[in-house]
Amino acid sequence: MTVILCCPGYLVMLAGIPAAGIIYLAMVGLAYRQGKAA
Amino acid sequence: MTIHVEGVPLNRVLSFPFRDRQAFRRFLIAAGLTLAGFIVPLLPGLFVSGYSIRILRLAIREGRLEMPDWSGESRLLMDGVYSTIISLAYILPGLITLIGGFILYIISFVLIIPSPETADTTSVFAIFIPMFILFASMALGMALLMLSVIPLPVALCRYADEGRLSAAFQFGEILGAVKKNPVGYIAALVVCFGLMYILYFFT
Repeated sequence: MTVILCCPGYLVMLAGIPAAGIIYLAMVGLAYRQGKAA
Repeated sequence: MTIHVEGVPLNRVLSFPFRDRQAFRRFLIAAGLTLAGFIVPLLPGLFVSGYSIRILRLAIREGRLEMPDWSGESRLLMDGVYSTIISLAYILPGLITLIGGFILYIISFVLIIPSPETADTTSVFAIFIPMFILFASMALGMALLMLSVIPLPVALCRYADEGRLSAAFQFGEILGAVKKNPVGYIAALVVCFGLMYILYFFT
């Protein structure tokens, strides 16, 4: 029961960590581009 | 009112990995490889790191927020190896301080701990020395790790942009790049921590 209840949460977390990382990197890339253009 | 991040609407920044079916499929490969990294050591992580460099390169050179394709495995792997070397080099001082401090703590604890027969007031106070070593190394190690949080992504940007490993270790240029747009890097960190907090809250 615990596994069934926790599974969606773990899946969201496992997908969410790379999503947060990808979004962070893209934002850093844009910040670097902006700084380079300045 | 729409919040913009470096000229791009925030909702576009947050949704670009899931924007369309193709982007979502590429994101799922990244998530799958991240998951595989928990079971198989090193190799999946290297591919994900290489892919991260590809995302950075697109954002820096073309200002595009897109999920690039996964083709060119050898290039991905090479970028992954180089970005791992860069990351390790930046976190190494903090890591060495933490691990070295813990080893020193164990050694000093074994050397100093008094036996019940010979214990006196001085040797009882000596027990605090290993504790001091442990806490001092933890504080210093964490401070060093936190100090690497800002220059490390900039170093990765420089590698992604110029394609040379040495570009990631030109500290003067890295500091100059941080100074040119500190708000941009802090905003990226805040958004990342916010996302992680939301994830933690809901899971």
